[in-house]
Amino acid sequence: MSKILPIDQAVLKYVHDRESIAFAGMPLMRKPVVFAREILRQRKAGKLKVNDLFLAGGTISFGSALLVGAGVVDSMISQFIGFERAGLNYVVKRSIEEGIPRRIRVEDESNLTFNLRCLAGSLNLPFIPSISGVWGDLNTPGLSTHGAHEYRKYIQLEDPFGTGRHVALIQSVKPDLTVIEAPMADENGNTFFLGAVGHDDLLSRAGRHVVVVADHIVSGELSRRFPNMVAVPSIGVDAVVQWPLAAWPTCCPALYDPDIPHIKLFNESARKDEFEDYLDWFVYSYKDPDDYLHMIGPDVEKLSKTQSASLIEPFRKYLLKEESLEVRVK
Amino acid sequence: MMQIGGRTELLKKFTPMEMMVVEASRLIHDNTTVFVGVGLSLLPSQLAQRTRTPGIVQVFESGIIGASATGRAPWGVDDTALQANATAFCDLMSALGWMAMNNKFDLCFLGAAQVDKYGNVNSTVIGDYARPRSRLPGSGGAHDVAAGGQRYVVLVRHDKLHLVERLDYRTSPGFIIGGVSREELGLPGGGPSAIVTDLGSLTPDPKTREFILSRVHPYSTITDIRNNTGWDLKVSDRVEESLPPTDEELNVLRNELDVEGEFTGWKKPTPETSTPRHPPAGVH
Repeated sequence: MSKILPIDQAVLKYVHDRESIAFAGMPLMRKPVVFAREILRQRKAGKLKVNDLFLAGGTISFGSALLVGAGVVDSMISQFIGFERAGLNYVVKRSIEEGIPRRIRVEDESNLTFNLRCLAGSLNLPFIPSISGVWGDLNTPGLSTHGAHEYRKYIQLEDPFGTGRHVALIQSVKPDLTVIEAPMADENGNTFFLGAVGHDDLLSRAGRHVVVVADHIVSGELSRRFPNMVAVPSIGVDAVVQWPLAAWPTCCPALYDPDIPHIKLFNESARKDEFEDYLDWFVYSYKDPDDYLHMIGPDVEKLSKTQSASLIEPFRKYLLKEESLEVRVK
Repeated sequence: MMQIGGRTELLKKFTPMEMMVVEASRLIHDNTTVFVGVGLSLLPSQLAQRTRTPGIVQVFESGIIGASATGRAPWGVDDTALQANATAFCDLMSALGWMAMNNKFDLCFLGAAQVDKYGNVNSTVIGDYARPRSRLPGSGGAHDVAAGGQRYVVLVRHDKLHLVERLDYRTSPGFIIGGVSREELGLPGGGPSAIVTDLGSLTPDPKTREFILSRVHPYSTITDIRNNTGWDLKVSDRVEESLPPTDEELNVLRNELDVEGEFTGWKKPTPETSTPRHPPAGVH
């Protein structure tokens, strides 16, 4: 059964106010940014009412920053906020430091503690033991309304089996919606990653609903020929959206490099109080995927000349031509 | 004690940040496994692999194993520049759960906004957690590597704002409160083995686990370093002077890894001063 949806329908069906969203991907890799843009586009069009989203972790990178900057985020669990060597995330920074456009509540995790919370969620466990979290201020709750230091976030425990080892018990997370970006998925939802996996498969397993935003739809033959390659089986996917350069300006290994100048431009827009202009130019302006590529401009070609392109070579013949897709956003 | 350091004229040839990256890269032994953190800590292993230690295996928390950057320097641990010649792709849980917690890394590199005398690190906030003066990236994988990694090196700019008596937020464990306090917590990794700064290097006293001055960069002096440290820094009785970067090291850094001078500042003039500096906008 085809799970392909146009992006606007996927957003309207699966995004609900006061629910939690996890964007998979690493700071500069496979962020489903186009999905975050579409949330804002549908909101501006008056079709989607969202004011208080809860970002349930993943690394807080580009898509999260768009939502934070637009003021539709109430709180977040964060493993990491920023763009690595390309800079700090000034949109999220000013929200936390200055309350612009509003103050968000943040609860910090490490990469591993957040992944363990998702693992516990995927196993339908209430909590899971961890070495990370035994020491330090990750233990400080940030989402509590009772003040930051009144109780501990993790529970410290000595191994009840008697080894004498200490662990921290940490609570599971099950995001209402996990959105993952992938170079390839088939219409049933079988999803393929190329390059580093990060935590994208794990986050999908924790999500109550999962939307895959794929740069390419592939023939169903790919999963039959290479079943080992399926990172997220169709069973775990509710909807598939096709969109070119869906992760831009983050990278999608095998397809395109990160657009570092654009990330810096985005940061500058926040520092110069031009964030609203940024949204007009790069979020609200395009009509369809072709228009979107046109907006990015000649950089599309430059970014697509990635050295990681060799990763997709064995699979290129399974890519469906875009014209053969029945569903495109018009 | 013999007179060491103080040759500030050397700063016409290279910058303190270049010295810091070079000094950190020299801690890497060939044919070992190196965990590479984000930010400036991406550079030492890239430099080492392109010069002295071509046989190292670099691991990145995104799940990349065995990659050496192709062409440009990577912008992050998940950049496509690291995804053209990897020997294995796995996931974050494998890198930080399995490998870090089971001593698979011989050496790890972490950045810091603040570090204290026991090598505990803050990379989360400056100021109060609930109302921070400056919000920084947070842990990422740093807490996990610090808890599990066999040995790790902290890279940090040397001044009283970065080397502090008391952390604003305790992100990643070093030697906790010194002595055997880390062992008592049962953390599997061996803890921090060095703090490499742009003025010198500190290493832990084997007993108290307090970090003491062990190496001075050639343009710096013991007095400079003590004046720029936020605690009463003890000095090893065998302080050595680090060797300036070689032409080859500078060549690789400037022509391959930091072409714009964005991270090591080699294109800008460096102030020759020993007065405390202002904080950079963000450090990680």
